[in-house]
Amino acid sequence: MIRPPLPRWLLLPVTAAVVFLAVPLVALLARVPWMRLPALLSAPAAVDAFLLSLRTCAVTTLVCLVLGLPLALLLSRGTGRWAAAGRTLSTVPMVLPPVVAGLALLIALGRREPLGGWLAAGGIDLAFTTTAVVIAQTFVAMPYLVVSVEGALRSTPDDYAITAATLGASPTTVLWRVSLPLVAPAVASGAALAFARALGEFGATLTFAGSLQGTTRTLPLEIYLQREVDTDTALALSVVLIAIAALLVAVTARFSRGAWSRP
Amino acid sequence: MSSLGVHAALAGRGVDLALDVAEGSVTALVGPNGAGKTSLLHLVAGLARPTSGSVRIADREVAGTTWVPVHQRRVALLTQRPALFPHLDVLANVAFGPRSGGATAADARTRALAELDAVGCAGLASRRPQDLSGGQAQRVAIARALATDPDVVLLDEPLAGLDVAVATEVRHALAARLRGQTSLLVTHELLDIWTIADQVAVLEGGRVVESGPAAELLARPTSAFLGRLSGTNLFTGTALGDTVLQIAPDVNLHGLPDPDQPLTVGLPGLASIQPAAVALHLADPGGSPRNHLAAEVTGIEPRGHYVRVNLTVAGQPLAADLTGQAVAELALRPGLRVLAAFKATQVRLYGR
Amino acid sequence: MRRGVAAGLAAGLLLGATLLTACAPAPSGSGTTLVVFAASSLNPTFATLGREFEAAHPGVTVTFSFDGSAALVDQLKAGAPADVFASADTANMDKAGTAGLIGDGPAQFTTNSLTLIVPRGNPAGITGLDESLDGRKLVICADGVPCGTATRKLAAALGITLEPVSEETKVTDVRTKVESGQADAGIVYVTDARASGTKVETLPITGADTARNVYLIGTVTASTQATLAAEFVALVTGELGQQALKAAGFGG
Repeated sequence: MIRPPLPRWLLLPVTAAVVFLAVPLVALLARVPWMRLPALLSAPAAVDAFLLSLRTCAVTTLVCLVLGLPLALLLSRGTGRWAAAGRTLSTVPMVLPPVVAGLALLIALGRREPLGGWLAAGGIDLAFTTTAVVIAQTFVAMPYLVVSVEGALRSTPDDYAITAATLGASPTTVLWRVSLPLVAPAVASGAALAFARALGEFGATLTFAGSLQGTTRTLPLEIYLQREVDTDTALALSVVLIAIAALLVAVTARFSRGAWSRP
Repeated sequence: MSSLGVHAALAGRGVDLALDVAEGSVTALVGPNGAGKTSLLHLVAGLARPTSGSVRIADREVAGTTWVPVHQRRVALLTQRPALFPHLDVLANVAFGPRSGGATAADARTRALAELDAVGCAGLASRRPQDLSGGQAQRVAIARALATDPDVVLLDEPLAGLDVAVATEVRHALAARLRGQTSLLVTHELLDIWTIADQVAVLEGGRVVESGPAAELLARPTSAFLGRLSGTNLFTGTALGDTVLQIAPDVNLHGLPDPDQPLTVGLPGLASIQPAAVALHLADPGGSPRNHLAAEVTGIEPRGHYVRVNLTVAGQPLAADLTGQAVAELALRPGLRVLAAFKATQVRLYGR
Repeated sequence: MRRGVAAGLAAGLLLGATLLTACAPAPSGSGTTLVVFAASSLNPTFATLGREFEAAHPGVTVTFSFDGSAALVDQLKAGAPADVFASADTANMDKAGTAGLIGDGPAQFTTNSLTLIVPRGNPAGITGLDESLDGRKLVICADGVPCGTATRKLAAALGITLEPVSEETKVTDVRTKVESGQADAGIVYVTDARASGTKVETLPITGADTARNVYLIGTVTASTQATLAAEFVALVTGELGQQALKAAGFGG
């Protein structure tokens, strides 16, 4: 089938859009000291930041799955005021300025605040720990998983779950063997998005968790520091972040294409 | 002994249904949209909770003073959409029920293969649902539904989404597999009733207004029943030959046998004729049409561009659609005796 | 039809451009704008001086960009339009000078030294750069940024080893973490301690003057308003500027 063509004049704004998006990336890549890249990236601080980012983002993604999937399941069934409120609550961190997210976490969990003080009294001191990094990342990343999975669940016809129930499957069996497998592509892309968002997390971590090599200084924080100290290292680390982000976006696209076709 | 008893109301939907179904009986549910057919299925399946009354399956109360959730009701549900799980292959789809019921993987597989074989789909076991045709998918869905040994099978227009040739195939698969299996079948198709059902319940306005054996309703259709069957004339009788059906002593219908359901001499058969194919004459016109039946006009209903003339033939109703001009020329009026003529090629004959 | 579309597009682009321009600071009336790039720690002292400058020069608007000295040098290198540059250390002023960005002879105009701060009430009972810090949460500036370099120089001079839980890129990040009580103690500039007011308590470090930061100011060679720029430098290095800086805690 040949679709009616788009008007040719669209090329003008399209070109502008492409230039707009590509120029900053190309400019950054052009400034990267490629010859020194291996040396810059193998510096202990860079390696530590990279490994810390991978570690915390992996844990964050896991936490997002464990907590976010049940939330998405519940929200996908919800109607009315409470569901709307729940949906708003679970998407707000997505659009919150990072600094605001950090401030909110600090006020909630800071050592001098009621909840944080109570935790500290119980021997759980989050300040300046890797756990704090994971908390900050989870706070901003979980919405991506929830929104992605909830949307997929909503667009899944009810009759799969109904059929499974009539076949004798308990709610738990329906969940594990039908509902979740049906949205597996969305779970995968949601997890990839959450990982990507966690990887880019900066403001909340800086405000809430601090910055110490190997403990709380993730890739973005290392870049932020190196921008003040050694621009070349900052550029080299930026290349790493761009590469991982591109990879994750490609993975996400792959999974959304691979969605189950519905017979 | 009743195997299924629904005496339940859904206040919000204006539904108040009473229906008892004998064990092993396939009951067709007919009625206009909104009559409560799907609500009835939902009450039995556990997808709707009665606001009063009760539902019993195999002499176990599943709704009323108690509530048994869907997955513990032992009901199977088949709808227009096969809803095969897209992430499982055909075999795993059919084995899903037995597995959920606690069968070992090996037992579930054996059972699934047997069920697939019974609907002629054994060769599709390793296919993905996405790679099946509509008819194949619906047959696999039948196998999947029956693999759990359900107490009741609920069918909500299972053939509605299929084209005619495929529907015929699936209809036969259903008829064979549902024999002796307590079932409720929502349908608008005469052929479904004739081929699959042994009982009929007519629903209107949220109530069961009539019920009885399918053979009786087909032989002496009431207006409530007929009105639901998309305006096809039908006659039941006994086959005298491949192409002849005796519908009353000395009244024979000539027609073309359905290739999939030919007549068997001496056994019951069904004939269907579209009202538009029926011509009315005041005297025998001679000519080519094989069928000339003495009829009496019982009523005349103008319907926009044509007029529906209701008649009786050998005690059975017959509808003919004529132009207003023809009705005027013939001066048709209730009580007038006429001859109804139609070609044998317009009559479809079905054996059982 | 086609012409209509083209016209529409042109109008759209024009509108976009207009909106963009509208976002930029509008030059005030007949006047001119003096752009000052200054190290973060000079806020808000420089902002006050800017208003004095405006009062003395009718029609002139002074706008500031406060950021880390290194970031400012990067921006200058990239061609950012500035008339005056004030750095919080010699290293960054040298960098800018080597790149030919600064007119001759940047002037040292003040110094800043380090101090230890603790949250109000000193909940962890810190007494100074001593064993009272053991097991406590100390936050300092990261190595490489001016205040971090100074902190390390000071620790070396005092012969002590610091074990911070966090090394921040910006001195203000150290400050806010102490203010909020997340950290038990932090090492910041005296000016930061002063700016925090009563949210923190200051524990002076003996020997802090061994690791003083020297602040330099100079005019930017690319400036189109060399005279005004020089006058602003004169204001900072003059009596009025020095008084304001001293009041903010500089010169220690």
